[in-house]
Amino acid sequence: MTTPTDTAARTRTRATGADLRAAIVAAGRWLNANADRIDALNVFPVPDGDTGTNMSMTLQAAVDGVRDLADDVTVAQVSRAAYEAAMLGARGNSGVILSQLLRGFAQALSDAHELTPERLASALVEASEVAYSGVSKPVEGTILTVARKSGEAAHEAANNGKDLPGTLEQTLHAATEAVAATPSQLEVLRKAGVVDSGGDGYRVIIEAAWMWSTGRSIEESAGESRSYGRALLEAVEESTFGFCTEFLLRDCDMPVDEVKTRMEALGDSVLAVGETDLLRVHVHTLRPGQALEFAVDHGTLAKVKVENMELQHQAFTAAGHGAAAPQAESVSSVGVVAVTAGDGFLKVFRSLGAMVVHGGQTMNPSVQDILAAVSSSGYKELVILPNNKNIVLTAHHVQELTPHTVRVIPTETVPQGIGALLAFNFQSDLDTNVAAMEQAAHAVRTIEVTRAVRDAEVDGVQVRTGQMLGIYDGHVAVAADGVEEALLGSLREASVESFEIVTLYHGAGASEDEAQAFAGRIRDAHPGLAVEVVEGGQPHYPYVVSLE
Amino acid sequence: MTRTGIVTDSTADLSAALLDKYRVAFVPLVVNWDNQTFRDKIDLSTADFYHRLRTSKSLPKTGAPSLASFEAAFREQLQQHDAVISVNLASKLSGTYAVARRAAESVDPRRIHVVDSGSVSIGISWLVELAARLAQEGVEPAEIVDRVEAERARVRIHFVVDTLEFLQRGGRIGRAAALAGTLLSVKPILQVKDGEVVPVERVRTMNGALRRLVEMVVALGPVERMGVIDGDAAANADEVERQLRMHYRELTIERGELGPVVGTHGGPGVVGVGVLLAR
Repeated sequence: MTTPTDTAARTRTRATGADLRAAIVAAGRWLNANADRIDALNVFPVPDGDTGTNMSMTLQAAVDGVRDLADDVTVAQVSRAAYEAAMLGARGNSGVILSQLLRGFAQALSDAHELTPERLASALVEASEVAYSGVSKPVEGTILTVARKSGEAAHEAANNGKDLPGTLEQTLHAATEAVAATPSQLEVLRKAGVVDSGGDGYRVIIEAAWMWSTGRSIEESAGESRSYGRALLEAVEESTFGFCTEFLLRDCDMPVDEVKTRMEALGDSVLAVGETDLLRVHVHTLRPGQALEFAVDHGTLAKVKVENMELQHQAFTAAGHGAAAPQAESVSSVGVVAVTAGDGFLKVFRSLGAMVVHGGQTMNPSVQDILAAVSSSGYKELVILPNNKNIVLTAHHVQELTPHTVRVIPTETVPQGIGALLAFNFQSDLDTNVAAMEQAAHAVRTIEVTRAVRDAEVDGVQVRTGQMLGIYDGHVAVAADGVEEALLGSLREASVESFEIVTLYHGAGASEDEAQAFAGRIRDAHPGLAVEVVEGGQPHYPYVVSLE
Repeated sequence: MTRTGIVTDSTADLSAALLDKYRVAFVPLVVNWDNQTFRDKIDLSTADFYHRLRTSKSLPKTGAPSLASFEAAFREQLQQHDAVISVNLASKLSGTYAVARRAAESVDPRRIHVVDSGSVSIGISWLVELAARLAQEGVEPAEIVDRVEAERARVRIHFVVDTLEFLQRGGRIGRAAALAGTLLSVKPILQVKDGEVVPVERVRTMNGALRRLVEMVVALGPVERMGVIDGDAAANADEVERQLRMHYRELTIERGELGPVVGTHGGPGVVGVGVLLAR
């Protein structure tokens, strides 16, 4: 790896853009190597959004965003490129917060050629401030606290004249203490016997920066761990059209905004990041040749990457989405994008006229995934149904990145999303629909049945690994040895008789026959109740139930 | 005797009292069922129709009135009146309007005026009633046509169907096809808008759909007239009327039954609310 002579960081008080680039690459590797361990720091003992994987994939996007920058790049350009790429690649709440941290970091360094301990400290402070402001209700004992403590420590170290490795060492020390303190700040962590996973993810990033600054190497092999392969797998799920075209342009003779405008004429999902001396351009277009021709005419074309997304698009349209869109457009001026997993749920959402982005409990889509669906929807006004607590923030970030008018209904379960979609009114405008859909989402109660992945005490219920849990609106209602007891017990807890219609969506390991048998028993016990069985096909959860 | 005679078709769902009072002539559409042809509401009563629809294995089809039947109605009216105004089922839903136009051309295009109601059932009947009343007041035919066409914009019909199957089979679903193919059981709410059936919403249960139907009507603002119509769903229509009464204490809520032709396309279980918006 690097030797002490070839980077300015080793001179201890200054780091170049190339150094920062190397540090980000190192952080990407180190976080990736730690992803599985962080995934296991899971409060809720059920298979759900994995923080380690989400953060790692988000940082990996940043790495991809800076990797190809030239050696004479400035610190400002590197931090900006890292932020822009992370913003699009952000997955899950922790990934979105990480992208916000990078945003603050880049803001503070927007005029920096080099990194000094003072600049590093102020960037870490601003990172924390931007992250706090990006969360509507900041909670202490989370990544936010760790980021704040890190910023404070860096500030103090730099003021005391520490060099870069020294500043990072003190920052890491504070981050580690802050992570260790999270269970004392958050009851749920203490009960679950874990530290905050997002906070630990941030600590790992700081740790990587410190290791890099002192010349410690991070094993190359770490880069090949599970998470990266999973990222690639998920990238295949992305649904969009044309060619994903990316290039680096040096010495562009045109202002960045003008380049952006010209690219927007060729396609969408346009990004033009950097300055005229080095510009990174990203566009989804049906005519990549024209984009590249433009580049050659206006500067020196460096790296080029063109990927055909048509295959995914065809799969997308074959499944009924593309064909439905133009027709749907004449029916309503508002489109709906829903995030869901499972063949059955996919069909349910499509049959109700929504466009679908794959994702759910254990597979959170990136901002880019949702953005692509919005861009290719053919609608100017859209509603996004995230259908998962850990995707709500991701969906909100799509709003900032698209020229479309996008509203997010913060649905936390799939039944809530279906409830919201059912309230969609074809004759109403966006605002009216958002109001009605929000109300409808609130009116739906959800029961989810899944297997506990570890021992825990949650919501006052003692849970043993392998037990079946009945989760009623996000709270563990029943822990039982079998599916039947978990399902029927949760229905009792929910006072099922007070509803009009119960829908059993069967998924992982639950057959249609079994579901029908349960439905029969519910009907027998409550003759006034309509009970319906629908295939959900969701992973990990034998049953997802909506009560309306 | 009035100068202008009024003709409509059998989908207007006019009450017998109204037909009598204004001596409105109605031309029946036809229902073809098991190789038999029935004249709507003449050879096949509404009650018999729904009974048969619920029990028969085969399904009926509908047809526009024959050219001859319109010609005969127009000729008969012209023997007693100087002019004739024919108000018919929405042209986008049926060929009836086109047939009436052709009949007018062949009989006496200068004296016979054919108006597209852009509506169905009670929506047509209100326009017919307006035309008849104006005719009785001696208003010029051209002005009657203008006034009826202006009134058209104030008519709204929302309705719930038990199933979209009948609308789909009859090809009258139009853009409401967006509501079809739903994998969950839902009760679709639709609207007749500018002469077309368009989708409005989906509700999981019939009770929920009826409540929503009432909410939608209430949201339309002040109304001049209101009617609840149903196709073999009197109990549900009663419930809708009961809920509407809580909002419109002063208003007379009219009732109407969807006859065999409209029932063929809506299927059994349709409940609708028509309103004439206040000016």
